[in-house]
Amino acid sequence: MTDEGPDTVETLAARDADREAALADLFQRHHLDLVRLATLLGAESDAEDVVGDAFCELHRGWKRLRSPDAALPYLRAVIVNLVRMRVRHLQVVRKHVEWVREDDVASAESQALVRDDQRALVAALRGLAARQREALVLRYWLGLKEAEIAEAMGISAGAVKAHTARGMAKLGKVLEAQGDG
Amino acid sequence: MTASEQRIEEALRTMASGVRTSPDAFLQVQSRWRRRERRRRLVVAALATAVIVAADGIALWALSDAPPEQHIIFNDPTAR
Repeated sequence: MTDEGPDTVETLAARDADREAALADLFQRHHLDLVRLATLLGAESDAEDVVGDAFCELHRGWKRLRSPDAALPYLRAVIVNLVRMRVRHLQVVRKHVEWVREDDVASAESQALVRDDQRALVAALRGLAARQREALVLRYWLGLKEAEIAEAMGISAGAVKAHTARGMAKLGKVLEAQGDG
Repeated sequence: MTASEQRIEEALRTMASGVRTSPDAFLQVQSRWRRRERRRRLVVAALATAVIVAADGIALWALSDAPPEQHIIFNDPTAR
């Protein structure tokens, strides 16, 4: 952001205090929703850590923000990226090591609230490719517009459309099967 | 919104509603970003000091290496 004055000790301290206050306010208002977003994207038990890292990134890059309103989209984009990296990392690790998946325990806790008719849908959602899952979660849970989803995912609006359509097609099969059953 | 979309939205909402955060989350994250900021400033200060020390060292070496009759800094244009 651009409230550039001479860098005296006082102005630097005031800028630091402003940044802390703005971040505290953002945290207060959006932390729970962001942790939920990270969980839905696949961060599971690391969701709070991922969101914490995103806030640290925002703290570091605060001066580069266009405006305070850009903070939330920035956080979303960082979270989407961090979760994608985490999922990729786990996929690689799981190829080499077999262990009891902690995520399954966390998933089991959140699944306790899921109704029987939703279980297949939730399982199918978890099985989607990362980009498809991101597009669907950002659209149907956060209710973002295509342009906002594109910004959060770092891709074009056309690609968002394609990922959403492919994800919906896969979930549609599950829903159809449920309709038949 | 179609029926399928509504069902997806509902399933996501149900999944999300089970997620809770720890009560001291803010203090933890705040101490993390403060720690990182301190470390970043420390690294910048250390790098700046290293650059200054290196520049001083090079300058001292250049000055001490020159013959005493050769004036590196003050060149007297009238001297022959």
